[in-house]
Amino acid sequence: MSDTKPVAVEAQNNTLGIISLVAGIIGVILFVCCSYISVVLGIVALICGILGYQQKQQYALAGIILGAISIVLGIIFVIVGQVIFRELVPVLERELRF
Amino acid sequence: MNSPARIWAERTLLAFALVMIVVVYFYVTTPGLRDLIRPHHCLFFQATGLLCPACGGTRAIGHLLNGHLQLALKSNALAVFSLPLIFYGTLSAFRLVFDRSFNPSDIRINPFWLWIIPVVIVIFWITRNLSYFSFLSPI
Repeated sequence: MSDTKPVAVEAQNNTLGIISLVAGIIGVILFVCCSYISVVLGIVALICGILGYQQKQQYALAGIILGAISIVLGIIFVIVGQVIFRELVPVLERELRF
Repeated sequence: MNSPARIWAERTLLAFALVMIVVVYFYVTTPGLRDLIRPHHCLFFQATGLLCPACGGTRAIGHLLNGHLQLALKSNALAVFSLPLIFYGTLSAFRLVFDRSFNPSDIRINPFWLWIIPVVIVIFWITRNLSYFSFLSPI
């Protein structure tokens, strides 16, 4: 009879990876309306993702990718979006007025 | 812990802080830039006429700083309730840079509470655009 004892396996800590993924998802969702928040969330996702990726945590790579996308989209919408809307909105309002 | 990832994270945070200081300095001192970048303009609201989850956020913080909690909640309840989270995140960022004994991989939060955050944001986004929940839309 083999003398095997059950070994308690500690669940892997994925907190940084999940924080990174959640921040990345929120950043990508919010880039249309709150580009500034999107950039900040992208940086949070990137930092947590890289720290988690080093620990081989789940979702960390997805968080890094979403964070990078969120930063890029956020910056584009902060700079280009504001200028486009500044120029376009008055023109559209003028043109669409019957 | 002085791993390459931590050093990279510290440098990114410091670079971000530096960029923010420079942007705020030029934003405050350059009137032309202030006119060009208008943070109070919500592109989503302009394009669709619907409120986004952050609409009224600046007003909410302004009211809160003046001690008007009710007006702050009326402007953007989500911004008021997310302040402890923002405070915790900022504190963690400071500890990451300045506290050598702080190991971010030791942080343990139940994933349920992390996944709740985007769900709450989306629910808030939808409900504040419904007429039945008009008390969630800013004045």
